[in-house]
Amino acid sequence: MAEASSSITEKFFLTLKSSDGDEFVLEESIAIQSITIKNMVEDGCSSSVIPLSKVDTETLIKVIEYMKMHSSTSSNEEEIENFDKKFVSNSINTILNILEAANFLDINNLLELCAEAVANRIKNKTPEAVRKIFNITSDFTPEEEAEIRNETPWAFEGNLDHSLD
Amino acid sequence: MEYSNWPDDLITEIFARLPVKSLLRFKCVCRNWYSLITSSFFVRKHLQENPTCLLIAIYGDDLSQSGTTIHVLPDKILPGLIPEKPNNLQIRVELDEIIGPVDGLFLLLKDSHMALWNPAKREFRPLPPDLLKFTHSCPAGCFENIFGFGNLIQ
Repeated sequence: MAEASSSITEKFFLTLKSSDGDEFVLEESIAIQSITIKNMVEDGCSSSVIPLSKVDTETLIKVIEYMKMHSSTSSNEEEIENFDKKFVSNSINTILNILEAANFLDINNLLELCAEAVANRIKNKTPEAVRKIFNITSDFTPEEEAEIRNETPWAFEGNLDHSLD
Repeated sequence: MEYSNWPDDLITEIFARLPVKSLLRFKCVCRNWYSLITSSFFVRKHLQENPTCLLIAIYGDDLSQSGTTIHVLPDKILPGLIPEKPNNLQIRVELDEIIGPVDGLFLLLKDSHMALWNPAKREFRPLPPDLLKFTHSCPAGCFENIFGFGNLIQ
């Protein structure tokens, strides 16, 4: 009897290791929202530490925070909605890091949330601001760039946002 | 975040959620963005994921001159809300017909002139008048040309 009830409530835990070497212990049922982790568990890698070489500690903390909120049976829809709203108010750089991690970890709803947030943040920005945010150096010559701008000058009109966040 | 390591499909997830005006602006960010934004794959994806319905009002110009002014309104119409720059296209003649949209394009007709119009990109392309000239003779009793405007299976 005691054995049966313990097997029902027994929780499995996984250890996730960030690229900075920090380890986080997380319930398996929460962690497998990540399809990448789920596949690793199914392939029998769950007994050891799961190394996430592409996710740094700061980003992993955020991702775990998100997965906990989105798996918890106690959080209701309104709570989740408020959490998401606050979550995307992080700096754009943080959101881009989380988006990259969501892609690597294959957490679809987190990817969609972050992609939507980034689009909202950059939609009124200048190409210069966007280049700085994404750390892109233009490989167009000034003449080529002027030509592209001249194709649709109206797209460059209006109150554009020069800020980097 | 090291953007240079990003796969194209990840940046495309952001692009798919941007308005056309932003995309036209971001074409000049770098060559990679230009080719992604202008690729037919992305154009189709953007169209499929943004089923925005634009409403169009046509007014024959009331006082000064005759003509057609086409206003593109946002998808969410609220009472009393006037769009900032509603005037999208002005044509000096009164159009006979506006057909569409098909994949976001409209066919505009006036007498024997036809033009394609893309409101999102504000592109207006008259079609060559030769389209209306037929070298084949029509069977007896046929006196009208009929055109179709729609999707073709590719």
